[in-house]
Amino acid sequence: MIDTVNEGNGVVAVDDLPVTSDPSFEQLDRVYVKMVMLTWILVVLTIVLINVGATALSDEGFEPIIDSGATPFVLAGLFFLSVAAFVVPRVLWHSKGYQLHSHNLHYKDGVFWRAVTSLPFARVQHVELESGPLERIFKLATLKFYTAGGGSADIKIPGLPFASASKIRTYVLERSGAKMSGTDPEKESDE
Amino acid sequence: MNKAVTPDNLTPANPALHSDKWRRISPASVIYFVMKFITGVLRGGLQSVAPVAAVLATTGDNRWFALGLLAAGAAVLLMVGAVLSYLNFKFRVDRDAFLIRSGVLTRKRLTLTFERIQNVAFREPIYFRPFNLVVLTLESAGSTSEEVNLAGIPRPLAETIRRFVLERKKETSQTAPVNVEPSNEHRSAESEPTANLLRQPVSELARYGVSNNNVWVFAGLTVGALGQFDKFWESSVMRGMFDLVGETVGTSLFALSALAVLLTFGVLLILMFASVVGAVIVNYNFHLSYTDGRYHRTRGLFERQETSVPETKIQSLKIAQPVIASLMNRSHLTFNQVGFERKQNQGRHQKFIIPSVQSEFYHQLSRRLFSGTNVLEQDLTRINGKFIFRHIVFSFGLPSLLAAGISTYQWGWQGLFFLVVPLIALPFVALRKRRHGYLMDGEHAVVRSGLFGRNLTVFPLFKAQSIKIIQSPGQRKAELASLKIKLAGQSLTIPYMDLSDARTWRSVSLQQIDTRTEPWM
Repeated sequence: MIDTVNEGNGVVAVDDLPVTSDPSFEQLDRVYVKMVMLTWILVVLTIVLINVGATALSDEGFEPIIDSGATPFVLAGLFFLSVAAFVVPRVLWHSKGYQLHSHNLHYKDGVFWRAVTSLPFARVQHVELESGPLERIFKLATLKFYTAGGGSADIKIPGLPFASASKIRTYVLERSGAKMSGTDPEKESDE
Repeated sequence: MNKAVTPDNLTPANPALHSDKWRRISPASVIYFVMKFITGVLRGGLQSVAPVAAVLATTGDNRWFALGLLAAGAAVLLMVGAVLSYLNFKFRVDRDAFLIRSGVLTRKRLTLTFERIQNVAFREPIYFRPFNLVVLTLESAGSTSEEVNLAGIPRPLAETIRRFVLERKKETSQTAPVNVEPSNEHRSAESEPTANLLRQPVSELARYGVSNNNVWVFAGLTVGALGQFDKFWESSVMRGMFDLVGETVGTSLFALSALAVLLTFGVLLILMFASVVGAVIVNYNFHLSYTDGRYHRTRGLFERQETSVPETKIQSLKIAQPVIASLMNRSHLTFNQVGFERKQNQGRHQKFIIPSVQSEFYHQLSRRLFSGTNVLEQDLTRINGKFIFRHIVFSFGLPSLLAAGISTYQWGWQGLFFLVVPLIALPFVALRKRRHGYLMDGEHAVVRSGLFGRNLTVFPLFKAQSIKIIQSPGQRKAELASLKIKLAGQSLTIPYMDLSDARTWRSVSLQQIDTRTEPWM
């Protein structure tokens, strides 16, 4: 069960926390499903094409595979991958979500190992808005939140439409006292 | 935000410091530059000595002459380089920044504003002692390239600079609206005289040398290194040794294994001795004190080091008790600071370790650091026993089943041996489970982990950076969770705690972060 912290104005009483799989998590944009699907298809296609190409160019061609009777397995594998292309992106999309509160941001992630990360705005060092080539096709962006915890981003929210991504960023930054887009994280971390 | 301080209220206090002229460090700093280069070469490893090997290999009969020439050339180059480094190193203290010019081939200009300076540390290398000079290091919050070493300035000047920088920092932080300290704790602390917290005699340092885990690290490295040298074992000397062993103790299994055990102990003893010597040299005359909201540490035999860390910068207190230390009832403490991982890699700035103390001391220190908390003195909550099941089944069971399957298929029934692995692992996993523990009092928390030894980490909850609750399918069924708390520069995980506990920890932490207004760094 994914649980969540639900607070009124920041100060929470411990008992107020609901233990339900909370529907109040904002879901990512539906387009995210399409983007993951396209990524999946591109990756699978690349692997298949490389293999097919290599086999076709080899001396024996496809004959050894056909002779060994592995054809049904190969086809089954391909079928499985295509079904997965429909299922996996939806499952991934469903597993992720975020909640914005007055002082904190919560992000849920994970299909089997489900995690909820809570990030107080007061600890946000900087926020990065990123949009890769595939994301740009679908007009999506990834928001990354960094704290002084070091290294990688503490929270990465993918699949946000440009507009809402920058709205969230402004919302968080207004409440964090950090600077925009983290061009100079060192400056902020100093007193 | 720096405008609030005018030059008028600055200059009277530091007439000697504030000037428009570029200053030089002492000529004795030439020694420092020479030493720096030599240690640089040593640290760079053998590859920097490769040219020498090339000379040795190619010059034949004239090799000693060639080598001498090379050495002389290197020495001259080193001297010239060091002198030029000295001549080119200039610094100036501006109204709100340190300006430094340095470099021989590539000139460097650096402006380090006071507000960026995180820490000011002194070192007194043995070769500077006759001149009463010190190396002053200014650590900045930013990248390592911005660190400044003022090598070879008189001690009084260094102290003036430190005072000036710290005062100046305080002023800027007061004018900045974000970090105004609400409590008057710090105000009153200023007038407070220095509190001497700890002086460590050589006997305690020796205990530290024996019991810290470095011995095992060294042991591992030694074994690894010896394993690398096939030639070493096959050398005629070693063969002779083996023959000798065969003649004197015989070739019986008992005698040989007794010898092996003896040898291992001998090597460990030597390593421990080395570790003790190292610990004493580094920590000689260890002194910990507290003034003006900062902890000061001086230590070192050949090179006196003076380090200080502001109380507010301490993110957590780690209390490590390796097995040997627990036999002697001692623990080694570490102040974990912001970004200490980076500093650790630099070599020079080692962790702020307080070696070999008893529980009474760290209870007091923890109370002093974390507003009187007594979390350390209470019994910790244990984690759920499903931790053992999970690790035996998934971390050891499944892999060994797989290994057993594959190897039985290949080599026959002997492959079934792998099935014993989970049984062997069981006591260790159980031990690890027993070590895990946690407790909080609403403001501060303590997390315990370890296997043979024990690590306790005490920290104020409001210093958390982010909090993560993770649940595996099994944990969801059993209402358990793993909690991961990220602090600046370190993260703590409590596995298999009650879900309700994890949720309480999270909400209390978030609440603490909301309500505590003092700076977390």
